[in-house]
Amino acid sequence: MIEILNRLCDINGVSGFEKDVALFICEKIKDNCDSLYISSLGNVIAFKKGAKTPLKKIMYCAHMDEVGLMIRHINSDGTLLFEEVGIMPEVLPSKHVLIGKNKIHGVICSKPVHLIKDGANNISADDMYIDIGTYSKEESENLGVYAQYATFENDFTVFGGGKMVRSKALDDRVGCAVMIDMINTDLEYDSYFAFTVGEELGGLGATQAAREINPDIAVIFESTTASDLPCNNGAEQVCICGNGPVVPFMDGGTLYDKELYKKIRSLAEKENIKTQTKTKIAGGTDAAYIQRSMSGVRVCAVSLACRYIHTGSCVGAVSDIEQLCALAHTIDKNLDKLI
Amino acid sequence: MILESLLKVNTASGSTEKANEIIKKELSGVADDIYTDNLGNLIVRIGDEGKPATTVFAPADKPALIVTYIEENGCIRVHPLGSVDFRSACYSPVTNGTLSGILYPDSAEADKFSASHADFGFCDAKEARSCICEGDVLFFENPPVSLQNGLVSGVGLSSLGCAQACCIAAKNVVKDNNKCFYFVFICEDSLQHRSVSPAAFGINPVIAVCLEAYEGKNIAAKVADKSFVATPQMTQKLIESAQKCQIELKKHVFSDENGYASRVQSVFNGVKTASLLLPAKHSGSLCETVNKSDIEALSAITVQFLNNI
Repeated sequence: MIEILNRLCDINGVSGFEKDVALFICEKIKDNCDSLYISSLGNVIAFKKGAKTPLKKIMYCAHMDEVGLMIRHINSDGTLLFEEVGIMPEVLPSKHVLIGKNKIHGVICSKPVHLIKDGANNISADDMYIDIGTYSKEESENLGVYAQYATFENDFTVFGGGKMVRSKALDDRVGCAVMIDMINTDLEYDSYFAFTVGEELGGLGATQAAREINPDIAVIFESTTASDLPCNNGAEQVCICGNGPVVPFMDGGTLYDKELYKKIRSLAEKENIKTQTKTKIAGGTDAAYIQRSMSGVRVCAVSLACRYIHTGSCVGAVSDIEQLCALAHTIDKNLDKLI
Repeated sequence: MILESLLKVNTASGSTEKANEIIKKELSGVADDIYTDNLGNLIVRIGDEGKPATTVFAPADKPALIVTYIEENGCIRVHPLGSVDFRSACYSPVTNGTLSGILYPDSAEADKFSASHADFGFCDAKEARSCICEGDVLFFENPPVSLQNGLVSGVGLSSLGCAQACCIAAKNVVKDNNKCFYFVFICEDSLQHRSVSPAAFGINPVIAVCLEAYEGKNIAAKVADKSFVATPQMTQKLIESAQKCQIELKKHVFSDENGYASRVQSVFNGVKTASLLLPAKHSGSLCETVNKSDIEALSAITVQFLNNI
């Protein structure tokens, strides 16, 4: 599981440029699906027969895209200006990035802090640029960087004595890894799997996937903000790394199906899988778009508690990743009880 | 009046079961089918399925709170479900359906729900957890108050007044062999109207009337808001219906608000949509105030519209 996650996180796939991730996933699951295709928008849609046909159609969902940058302008001195795709600008200065398919190395630089209005607290993308070591616009243009994406350079690391992983794109390659694991295992129930595009842009792929598959129920695998830092106590921690998969009842975009929420947590408890919930309402997932598609879909989410989400150094607990996978299989085995 | 019953039950976005039960009981004698969809919207059909559908929509949820965290001292952290004025909510009684508590601000300077807590008198988190969980809904316990001149004040009056009008319309619509009528009681209107599109999609109406509330004095037909322009012929039909009922119906344009009518209008190939507005005072507070005669007028115009469309 960790090895597949490592390989998934290493692939660059900013929103709109998920193709390499999609091809990798297809390669990993093609021998274990009953049908598999890439949709017009780039979603990977798979169907796998299980031992039984469920009473209601189930769709599992995880998004392939990661946060990143888009190169929007080349300055006369060869430096690059960019737009953020899902990233907060505060996390960007001095980060090492890779640009485009050719993985051109760059460093994100900013104006000296004392020259920025209101100082470092007010930094924006307009105050930053990417230095790729060129000296002219022509030199940069010749490298083909314009209108390309940029991602954090990855260095997938297992640390903390093997307890934690650090990587870019844990959001949501961990969800993709869980679904790959499910597809490559015998399932109890016929299931659809949607590896979606454009979640960071607003559920672009999820909307299409929900319309194509038209499920009754959807389970979304995601990563969610863990703020269990020394400066935070109680509800401010949102969720805690190492406390198990996060099953939210609500987030900024969705009021999750009450029955599914309670049943999944109860099921997990019976199977000795520790779960937690989010103690602050924030963020959103593909669930918002799936829930409101067609004539409505009952949705629930099962997530990894992820520190420093939407940065180049997301951190999650190995035990949480393993438990997330275990809970996914438990949901499949007990689908009849959940519906 | 069904309104009194609806005001007494606990109903909130995503938790409208008790309101749905009351409405089901009220309309079971006239409906050909009553069901809830995947998101919990209650849908009442009068007429044969498959015929061109005319649909009336009304919200059935009230503002409430959802439990997000239980402190070690037993105090309950909450998040609002729907839009409710924080100052109005402070020091209000709340209930989970069996126990009562009070919502307190954390300090005198607190100005948002994240700086407030519900106190049920629990000694510690263990005691609290034996009764309440994260994800539980807390309802405001303010009982409705009858004021002079037919005015009623209470939590969620603007939504439930529309729901009452929708019920009355369902009871008085004349069956037509060439048409089918649907009456939709929206379960997640307070949360950015999230459950409206799926309900409309499931029915695919030809014509829709959306009953909405606004801060104002008179019954009105909404011509437009930030995301919606009413179908002019439908607005004209509403005005004609009002004239037949001898009710004055003004037109209203919102420049800075979004109602839910656009969610209905944009399903499939588009729906001819009109919006009828119930005037309310103190919207967003726990003392929303509407006039019963306005609810009756709303119902009368809707019935006239349905029977003559």
